[in-house]
Amino acid sequence: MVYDKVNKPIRRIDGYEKVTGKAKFAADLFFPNLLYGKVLRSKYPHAQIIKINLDKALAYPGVKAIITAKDIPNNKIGVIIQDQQVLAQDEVFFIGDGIAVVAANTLETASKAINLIEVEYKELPGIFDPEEAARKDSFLIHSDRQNNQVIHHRLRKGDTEKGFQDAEIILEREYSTPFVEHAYLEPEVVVAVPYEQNSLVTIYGSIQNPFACRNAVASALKVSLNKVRVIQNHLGGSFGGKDEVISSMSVRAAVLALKTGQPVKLINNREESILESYKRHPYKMKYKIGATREGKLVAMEIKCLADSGAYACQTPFVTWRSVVQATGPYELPHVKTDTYGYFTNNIYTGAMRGYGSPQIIFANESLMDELAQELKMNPLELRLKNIYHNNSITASGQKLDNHTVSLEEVINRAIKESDYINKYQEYNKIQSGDKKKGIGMAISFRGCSLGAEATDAAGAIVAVQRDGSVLISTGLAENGMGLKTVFSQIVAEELGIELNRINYMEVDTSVSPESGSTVASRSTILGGNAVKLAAQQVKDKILAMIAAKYNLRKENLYLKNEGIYEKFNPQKIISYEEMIEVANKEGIFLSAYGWYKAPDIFWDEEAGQGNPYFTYVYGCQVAEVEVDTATGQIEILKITAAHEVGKSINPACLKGQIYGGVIMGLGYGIMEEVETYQGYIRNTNFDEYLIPTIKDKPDLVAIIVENPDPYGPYGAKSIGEPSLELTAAAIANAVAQATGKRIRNLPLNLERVLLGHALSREVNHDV
Amino acid sequence: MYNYDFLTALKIEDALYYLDRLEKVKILAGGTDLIVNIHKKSSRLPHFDYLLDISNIEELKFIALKKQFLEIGSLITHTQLIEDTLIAKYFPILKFAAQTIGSPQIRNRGTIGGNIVNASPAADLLPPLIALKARVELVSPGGKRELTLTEFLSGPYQTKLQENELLTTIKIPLLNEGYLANFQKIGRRKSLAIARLSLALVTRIDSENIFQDSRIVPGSATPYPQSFPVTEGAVNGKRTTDLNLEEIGEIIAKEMISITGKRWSTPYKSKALSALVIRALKEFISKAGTK
Ligand SMILES: Cc1cc2nc3c(=O)[nH]c(=O)nc-3n(C[C@H](O)[C@H](O)[C@H](O)COP(=O)(O)OP(=O)(O)OC[C@H]3O[C@@H](n4cnc5c(N)ncnc54)[C@H](O)[C@@H]3O)c2cc1C
Repeated sequence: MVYDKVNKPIRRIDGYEKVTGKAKFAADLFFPNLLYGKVLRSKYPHAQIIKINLDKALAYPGVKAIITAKDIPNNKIGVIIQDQQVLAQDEVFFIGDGIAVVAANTLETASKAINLIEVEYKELPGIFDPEEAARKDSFLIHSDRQNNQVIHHRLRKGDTEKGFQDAEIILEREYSTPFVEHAYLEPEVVVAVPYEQNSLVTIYGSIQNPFACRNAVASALKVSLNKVRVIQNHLGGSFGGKDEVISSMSVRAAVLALKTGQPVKLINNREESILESYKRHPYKMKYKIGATREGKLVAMEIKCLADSGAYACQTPFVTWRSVVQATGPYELPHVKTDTYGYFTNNIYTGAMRGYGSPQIIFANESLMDELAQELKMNPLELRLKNIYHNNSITASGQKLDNHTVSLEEVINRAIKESDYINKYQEYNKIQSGDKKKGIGMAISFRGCSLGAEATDAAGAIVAVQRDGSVLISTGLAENGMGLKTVFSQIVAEELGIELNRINYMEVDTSVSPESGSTVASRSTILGGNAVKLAAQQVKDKILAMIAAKYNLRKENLYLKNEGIYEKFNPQKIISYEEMIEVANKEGIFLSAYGWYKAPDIFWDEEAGQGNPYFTYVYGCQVAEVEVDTATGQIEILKITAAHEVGKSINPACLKGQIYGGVIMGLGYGIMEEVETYQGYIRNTNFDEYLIPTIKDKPDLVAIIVENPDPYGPYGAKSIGEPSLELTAAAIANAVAQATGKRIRNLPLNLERVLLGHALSREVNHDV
Repeated sequence: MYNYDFLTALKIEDALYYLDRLEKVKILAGGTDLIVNIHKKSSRLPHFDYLLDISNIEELKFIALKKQFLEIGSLITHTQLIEDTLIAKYFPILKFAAQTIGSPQIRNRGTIGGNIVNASPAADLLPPLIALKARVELVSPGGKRELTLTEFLSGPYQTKLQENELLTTIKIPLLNEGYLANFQKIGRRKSLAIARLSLALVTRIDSENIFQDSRIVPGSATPYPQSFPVTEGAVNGKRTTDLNLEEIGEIIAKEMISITGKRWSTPYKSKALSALVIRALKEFISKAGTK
């Protein structure tokens, strides 16, 4: 199928305003009588609040209002479990917990005033290790719960005991990953405006998920959803990070706005952002694998412990994706996987690009290389013996029979492009000097969209205006990945029009159809379908109208190049603009609502089996590195990333996703770590929390593999998260080949590479 | 939050005028250390009532060749060090060191004077400048004085700069024939990386292939950069063919520990520092061999 507008590297429709600095971000918004909020946060990771004295702060000139937990009608929010305090009530559970928020004339005044708030604490011992939290004799972090377990997911297939009996070789390994910060360029900002145009409160902001934000604000204020309006601004990055933290800020700003009757802007600086915003879950993972001498996998037993920090947040779903995908894309008769989340007094953890996959992929793909080494087999060969193909049965018992299982194809493409086979042999020879090269691979399968986590549906409005211009509005939100462009391309394709006729509206919860959250790499596949359905309904109305007017058969008509054509007749019947005239005259409503609900799936939590996702994407990345074995420095020479995406709607945006994902995965692999010590966070700005810069960018090759999916719009599936989840694992395998030493803990920093273990500083401000 | 008045000087004279009349004046050059410290409310930042911006003093922006010295004005930026032909000719080690600093933005603003006066253990120009035996000229309303860098630095983030003094010039004695210099830096990423460890090594290999006048100065290894006389002594007088590199590696690590004691980072730094010194010496030996 040849397309006109989709499957083309069309320039981003929001590119111009962003690169020229014209785009307005939430911090750029101003309103008359605007007040500035500032949050007083906890002094301790775990403490009882004995007393809060606001008197001095309230008396400070310029201070308009101060709120504490008492002022929040319903103080507990959460997408899955409502246990997150908007402001700490009697107890602080982690170092980023807010205690009070001041609204004042200027940010400076608000900042001064929070220092005048007197809080009397009783410091309490904390739990900072999920293993400790899991112990029976540990104190309860949340006293209303039976124990410190947030969640336990299981997956069971076959009989692992029998499987390990049959195995000729068994390997047991432990891996771990750290807390990681999203590091979006733009820190969190919201502005709450009271009584604006019929809503009780309107929230503008750097909001990843406007509907989740609206739920939180409405529930915290105890008002109905139609009283709260959330309007998304341009986002300076999110990566899963601007969800609960933004909801909490929105509630705080809304309460202050209603208390003062004035708009309130609440803005985090970088330090506040790193202190307050949730992180990617650290995992401790135990893997046991059994195989035959020939390298056929027979059994796997996996136990993963996720540190949920102070609140449940997204832990129940993050660990669920892990339980489904923990084996990696390998056929195995016997599998037993358990994933757990535990509360601690660490910073809480939530959604971050990958969502429970980068951790387990680091483990399972390291393990495959370790097994290959034990079997004296090439890691590629071992993988090829065990990977999923069409009709394979996954660990959860799902038969992969409704889409093309492209694993072998992505592997072949990446292997060929990276020259893996030759280089692997070459680098296996003894290398002279301190600098040693290595090459490593990692592969994955990933369920698209939410899966059995939640109801999965999305909506879109396509509205043709009386001059032929088009407005699109969807409930899924541009997070910077190119969603507006991709959705516009779909509408342009269906209506046969140019993109400059289309204007894509920011999400406004009072107008846009609620579509769930912009997460799980689901926008193109879910939202794309909704947009396409809406556009197709408009198209249908146009064709019916023209067919009636010219007495033609509707089935023979099509829209293209700004006109309406009849099959086998190169002559245009009528131009798009003339058609609009006709519609205006005849009073035909050229707008439609598209609604797409994902195909049915199911999950049996008890049995640990099911069809958790309706389709999957497949990826393979190969990393080539040079390790300075005398200093521990790693140079990433090249990353080859082959990803099967169904169909690429915009190959340029798609490659952007791959490049960005790989670089983010590279940071996860070799440098990123939020350093916590007894619940305190040490690196609260980018001088110490290091992410890759452009100079760390290796030679990058992105390979797009297309096998259209029956459910995707034009066959399109996902790319946002798959691109990130493999890189750290591929690098770890390359480093292991180069050095002959396996590092099982991320990140692979200087100390780990040189010494084999990390060093931890006990005191701050050491050189 | 700090409260201060902002002053601008366009001439050395103006700056000295302010330094003379006012108390608690903090000098601002490129601001790449100072502004960060203000933002962080760093405990290292003493109280100040005035911020004196000297960045527009043209007289402090020069690189000049004198009889025995190359003189560098304190406002010369890292970028200027990298681009200057005299530096490239006489002290390429400074160019290499400057190239490893920060990012283009930081190199365009950050100055050699600021790097010295900030006196960070990780300041990348300090090890090469100490190894080059650089001197600093300090001017105050009362007059001028000159100190070697070793004399000038007095502790981590501490110097002998007096409240009313301005660092105007860095003077580097010219080297005779036969000197070799090398700078290496380990960071956690390729740019915008504070030195995890660095090493400047300047030495002369004489006609007999014997090491003479070695100056060995690690960065980020000690509370503030300083030369390692024991290691220098172990290298000096050795013929290139006789030098036991592994032994030098051990000596430098021991010398570091003798200064710092054992710290959390010692296991890493002692190993890596050995590697750096061995690498530098190997490079010199192979250069001497090919002469
Ligand atoms: C993002 C970033 C990355 C960095 N990376 C590096 C790096 O890789 N390597 C490195 O070495 N440094 C690095 N730095 C630190 C800094 O850029 C350098 O130390 C720079 O040389 C400081 O010069 P400045 O002119 O900006 O100093 P300023 O900040 O203006 O001043 C620093 C100190 O020196 C004093 N001072 C400055 N000039 C004079 C003078 N003429 N007389 C008397 N006192 C004076 C000031 O009062 C202040 O105490 C980095 C800084 C940042 C923000």
